[in-house]
Amino acid sequence: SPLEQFTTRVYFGLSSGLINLDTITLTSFSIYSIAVVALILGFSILNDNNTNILPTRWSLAFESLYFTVEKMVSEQIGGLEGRLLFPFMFSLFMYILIANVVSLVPYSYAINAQLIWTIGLSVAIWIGCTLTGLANHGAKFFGLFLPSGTNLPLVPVLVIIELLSYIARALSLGLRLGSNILAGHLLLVILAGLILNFISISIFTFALGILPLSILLGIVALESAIAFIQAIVFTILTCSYIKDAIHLH
Amino acid sequence: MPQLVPFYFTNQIFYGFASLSVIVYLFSIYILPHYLEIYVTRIFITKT
Repeated sequence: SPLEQFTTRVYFGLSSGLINLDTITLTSFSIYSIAVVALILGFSILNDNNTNILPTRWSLAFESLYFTVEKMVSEQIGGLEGRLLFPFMFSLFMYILIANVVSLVPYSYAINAQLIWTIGLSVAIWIGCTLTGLANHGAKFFGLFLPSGTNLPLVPVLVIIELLSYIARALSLGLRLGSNILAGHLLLVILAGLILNFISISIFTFALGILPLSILLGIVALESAIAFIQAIVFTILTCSYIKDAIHLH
Repeated sequence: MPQLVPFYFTNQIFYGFASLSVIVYLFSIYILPHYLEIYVTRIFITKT
């Protein structure tokens, strides 16, 4: 089944008669999440450039990512809050990006296709934003649900719509990332399976198989772009939600 | 869908947040300040 690639496997189970240790069991997810941390740290150390002022090619790549996120955060949040939140936003961006790129390796495991993780992350961010908004603005935070200049008869309807759209953010942020990665990987596996069946029919179809294979390569390139775009989209939207919580509208 | 097996939910949430927290900590304490130092030095050299 094409969905088999998302199956989580237990590699090293821990058990105790006293407490439930399933949470810290080493599974595919835990191994890949540790690998992502190791890759990010390795990438950062590789880019260290030994405190030289002139960048190397590796450090230039890292600096490009740094400035991409820095610009995003300063444009969206800005000020001291933006500076304080930058390490979190950069870590979030790098984690999603590297996890997406790692999942593109054939026979690997896609962390971000595990919907419980992506939705859990987005719900945590949403709760954090709501609490920040309430702590900063108190009851005025609820003004977020009423756009300025609204006609009085429209107020009840708009408040309900805005409230629903605010609550939906908690799910939509994670669901967008998870479903994009899930759909991309499913598409790749299904297409690759079809092409394999096609080229194994005869020598003629084997020769003709170059055409669908080139299309598949194009889709792999598209998935690589999606890996980057989804990391950007998740970070931009997180910035936007935090901006709402800090500055209101 | 294999993603919806409840047995792995706590495991995924735990490792996901733990790994993200480790990255946030290391980036904010060690790695990003080091890069900021280099940028500030560059700005200092080019402006003076």
